[in-house]
Amino acid sequence: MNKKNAFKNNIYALKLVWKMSKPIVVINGIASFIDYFEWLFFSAFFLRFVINGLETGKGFFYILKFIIITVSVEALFCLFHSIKNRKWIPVCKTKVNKELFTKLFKKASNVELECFEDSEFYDKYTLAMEKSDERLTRTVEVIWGVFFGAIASVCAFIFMYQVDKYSVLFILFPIIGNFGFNRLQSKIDYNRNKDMAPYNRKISYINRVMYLTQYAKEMRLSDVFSLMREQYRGAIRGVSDVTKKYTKRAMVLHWFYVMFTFTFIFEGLLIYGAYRTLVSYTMSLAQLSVITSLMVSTTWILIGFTDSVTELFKNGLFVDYLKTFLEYKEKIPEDYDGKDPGTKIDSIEFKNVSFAYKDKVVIKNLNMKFDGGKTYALAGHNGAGKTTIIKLLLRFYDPTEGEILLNGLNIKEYNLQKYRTLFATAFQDHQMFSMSVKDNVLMGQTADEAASEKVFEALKLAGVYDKIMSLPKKENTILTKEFDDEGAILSGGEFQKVVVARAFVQNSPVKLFDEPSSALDPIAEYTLFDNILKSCKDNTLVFISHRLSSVQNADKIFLLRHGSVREEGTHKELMALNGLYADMYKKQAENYLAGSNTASEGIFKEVAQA
Amino acid sequence: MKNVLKNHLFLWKLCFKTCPGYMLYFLYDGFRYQGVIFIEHVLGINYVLKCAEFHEPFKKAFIYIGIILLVNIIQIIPDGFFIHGWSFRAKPKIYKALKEKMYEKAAEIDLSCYDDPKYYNDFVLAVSESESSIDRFLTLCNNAVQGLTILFTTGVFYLVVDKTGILFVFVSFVLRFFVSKAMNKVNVDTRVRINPKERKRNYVSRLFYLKDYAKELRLHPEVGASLSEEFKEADNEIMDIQKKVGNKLSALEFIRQYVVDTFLLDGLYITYLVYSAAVLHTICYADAVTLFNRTGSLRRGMATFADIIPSMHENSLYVDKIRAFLDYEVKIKADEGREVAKGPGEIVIDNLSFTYSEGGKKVLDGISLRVKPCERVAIVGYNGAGKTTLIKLLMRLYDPTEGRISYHGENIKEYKPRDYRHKIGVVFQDFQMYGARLSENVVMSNIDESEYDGLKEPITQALINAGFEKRLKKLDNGLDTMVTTEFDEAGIDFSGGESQKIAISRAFYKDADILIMDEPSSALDPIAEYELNKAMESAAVGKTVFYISHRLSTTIDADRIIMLENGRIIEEGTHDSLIKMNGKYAEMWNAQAGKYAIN
Repeated sequence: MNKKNAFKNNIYALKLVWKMSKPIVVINGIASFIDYFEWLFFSAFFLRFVINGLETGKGFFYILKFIIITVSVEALFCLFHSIKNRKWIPVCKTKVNKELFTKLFKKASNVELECFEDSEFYDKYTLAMEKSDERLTRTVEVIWGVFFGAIASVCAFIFMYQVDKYSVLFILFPIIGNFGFNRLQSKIDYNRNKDMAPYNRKISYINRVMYLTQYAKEMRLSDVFSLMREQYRGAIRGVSDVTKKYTKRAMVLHWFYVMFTFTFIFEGLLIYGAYRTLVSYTMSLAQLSVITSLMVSTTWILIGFTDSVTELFKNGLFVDYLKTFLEYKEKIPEDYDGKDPGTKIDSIEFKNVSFAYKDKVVIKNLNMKFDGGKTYALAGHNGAGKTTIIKLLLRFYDPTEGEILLNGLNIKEYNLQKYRTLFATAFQDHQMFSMSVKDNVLMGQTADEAASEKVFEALKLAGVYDKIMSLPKKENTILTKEFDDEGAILSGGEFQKVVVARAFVQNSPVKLFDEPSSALDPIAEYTLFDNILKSCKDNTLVFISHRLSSVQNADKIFLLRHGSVREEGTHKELMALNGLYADMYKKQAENYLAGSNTASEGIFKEVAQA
Repeated sequence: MKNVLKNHLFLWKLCFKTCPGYMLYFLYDGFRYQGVIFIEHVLGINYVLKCAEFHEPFKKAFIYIGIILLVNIIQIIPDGFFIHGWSFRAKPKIYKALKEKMYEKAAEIDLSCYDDPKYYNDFVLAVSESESSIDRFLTLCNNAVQGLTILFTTGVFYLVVDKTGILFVFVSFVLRFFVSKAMNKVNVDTRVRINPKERKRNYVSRLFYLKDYAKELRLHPEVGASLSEEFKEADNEIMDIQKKVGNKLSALEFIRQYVVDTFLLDGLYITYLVYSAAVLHTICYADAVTLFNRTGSLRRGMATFADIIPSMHENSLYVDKIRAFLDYEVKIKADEGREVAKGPGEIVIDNLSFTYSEGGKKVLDGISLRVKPCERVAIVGYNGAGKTTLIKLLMRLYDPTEGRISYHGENIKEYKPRDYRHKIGVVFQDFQMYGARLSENVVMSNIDESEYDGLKEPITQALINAGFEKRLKKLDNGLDTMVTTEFDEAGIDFSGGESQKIAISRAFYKDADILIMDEPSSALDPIAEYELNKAMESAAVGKTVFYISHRLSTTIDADRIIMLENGRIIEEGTHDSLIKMNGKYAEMWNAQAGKYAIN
């Protein structure tokens, strides 16, 4: 990150925080000013005044008056600091948290889904999000730190010059130490971190494997633990080896850094001061005292200033992530406003659609047409593009080529949110929210009395009504134990049924089901498909299933292969075609049809013959 | 408090045992750091000022400072090594000492621990906090030594120069202690009140941040909006709490900062110094200046010291969790028990019952079953009938609540679990891939380099048997291909079907006597399922086999089909006999087969 960008980003952050909470910017500025002011005041003025008073014999009470004034002013400063640290800043930080995350959430739900799947974008997004409120307020603090640190450094410089012209030269030591050796040192740190990163990544991966539940079974049933342990040890050795590479150079630099930043200026000034007072008699005791205290504070002010500058650059990078995310231009803005699609579906048509996902072509020259009110099934291998078609249909992605038409108009023309409400969808990988069962089914629809009835109906159709009613608070039971220790945890099958209920409850003309039965037992599967077909009679229905027995009643079946339609027609037509679909169907049906004696499939066949 | 000390003693022992030299130097470092500052800023400056005040010869000051310079030049040499070399090596070693213990424990605790959310949360917290608890402990040690060094050196200096000064310092220290204590109490109370709201906040931001929910929030924007509202609400509540306690905390902070610090030390003490120097002439200028300058670092020293106890308490909470985890008494110890006889033996399940939690619902209820060697058993039934639980008990991942399972005529509890489980090959639906070489993903163990060449042949064979041959040939690095892109950009994330084949090859490689398959094909398309079943056929030869499936066509040829309902065996027999019986199995079969039979 170059200097200009880092600077720009910091200004951006300042503006952002200013919009969210003006007080936090002002209060931090005042605090930073007071901090440096106190520092300089006590090391330069206060001491000088007291000693001068003593030396010129102004008397005890004269000095006492000065001390009393100082201590009284300090009371105000302390009061400011106390309220700032314990009330203002915590409250302001929460305010920033609220404003910032609301902004981030809004953006996160407005960018197209692809952003979440693009690992580079997603990494930046997570980095921007992580503790971003704290880091953003810290950015403001640092900006003030640089500003007042620079002024304070100059002041310290001037004060030393006032006391003794030549003593200023000694400040060169900490400047060289800080800006020279310390910079070189940070470069080593940076390289070392970079070299260590792969090992640290490995360590954190193994850490995850060791505590995540999904690995627990295999950890016990196999010896994979020894594999993980060996990898862990290897990573630790790797870290150690990386260190060795840099140790010598770092040691030398460290020596120079400490010598220049602290030792040379301190010891040098002491000897120089002693010489001036004792040999050339050109410095008073008071001046010597002030110099001894000024040298310490000047050094630390300089260190503080350098650290702030370094941090400023580091923050610049963080702000960059934040900015990239907040300023990202959505390709498919979720709040896109366009034509109202209405609620009637005449036809949905894929016209020559191609879609590449991360340079890999997933959909190629796809042509298919869904007529309103009919039932369609998508079949094909894993990876044939079935789920992608659903996603394109929902406009999670836009086609790379070709167009999708709803009632003859490109779906890009419609108001996106209104367009999406045309579809009720049950995906395989749906998620549960930590809300009541009812809310998990309604998903944002108003939960009035009529809705309750609808929810019951949907749960019954999905075949999970009895289970839900057996829960302690019935349909009002909270799912997951996230916030409620009484919360219910559903099994995979029950979970899938609740997801399906979501699609039932939505009053949408099109219903999409993606493998709704993969975790269900045969009876449940049978009933579910029956219910889907019955209850969606008036809807346009598209479903994906590997259970080909369940697709045969569809008005039309599309068999997909490598992202395009390979065969299409009714079950009968496709069977007559005797192509891929027929092959698949037969493979699955053989055992059911042939009876056990002549079975040619099934895992026990060979054994039976052996 | 006793427990807090015990916890830190535990950490000390761990650290010291792992890196004794480093730990000693670590303590020395706190002493060195403050010692050097004392020599430089108190003794050095004081000496020079005194020389100036009493007109001592320049040479004396020169030699004195020269010696300090020399001390500095030398002491900083090992310091560089300590910071930039030793620490980078020693700390990971110390982490490793603790984490390996925890990992070993994690690999042997009973699987039932994972079902208990409270236990599991504590376990995750213990693992994730183990490194930082060591870091905090090291910082604590360093602060303690630094604080002690400051108090000791400065104390001696005050004693020698001006005894009365100690009084100010002492009063300030005592007051600070009490005010800090009061503040801590308020802080802890606030934390407790804010925590649940923060949990809410974290939950909401997780939903917006995880990929899994992104689709959901796009399909149901209203849910996103209401979550965002909840987030704002949580923040508003936090702000209310912060505003409420803000005044009290500000007042306490003011007392601590102003009354205890500024007023007492900068005001009263300095007045006293000036008075002693100007009026009483009991203190010389040099001493007065040094003492004045010293109050700053003394203050900081006291602050660090006063913070040690609360930080120890906080750290102790985490160490409690770590130790509780390490001290957990494992019920099923992997390495205790007898060896299992070779070859497939008879499995006898006798009146087996099981509940996941005490007093909970019986998941298995009085199951009895006798399985002959090399018999092939299919287990079918509704969701939640107890199929997977039965399998887990069979693998001795859990022990039964009632009844027993015996193998080769012996209760399986008598066997060494590691050895017993070694006799079982399993293919799950939720198998995992590991960030390691392909060969290691098959062997599922660390491979000794010297033995690697000899193992290549059987590994390749296992992969071929699992139907992975074609894919294997296409891999540039063959068996050495890195699996997952977890930490190798050149690694490969295999597709679901491919991964499944690798998982099956594990069972082949293991050459177990018992083979268990738990719905391995439910996510596969018909063709992949067909191929999988073909691969399974050959894996099953000469083994006792248990197969769970919802696809009844795959289990049609089993020697015996067991139909479970509510944890009981309700029907048992061959496919034909069960169909004849016309019971629940027949109903299931017809539901599935009927649809195919239509055409």
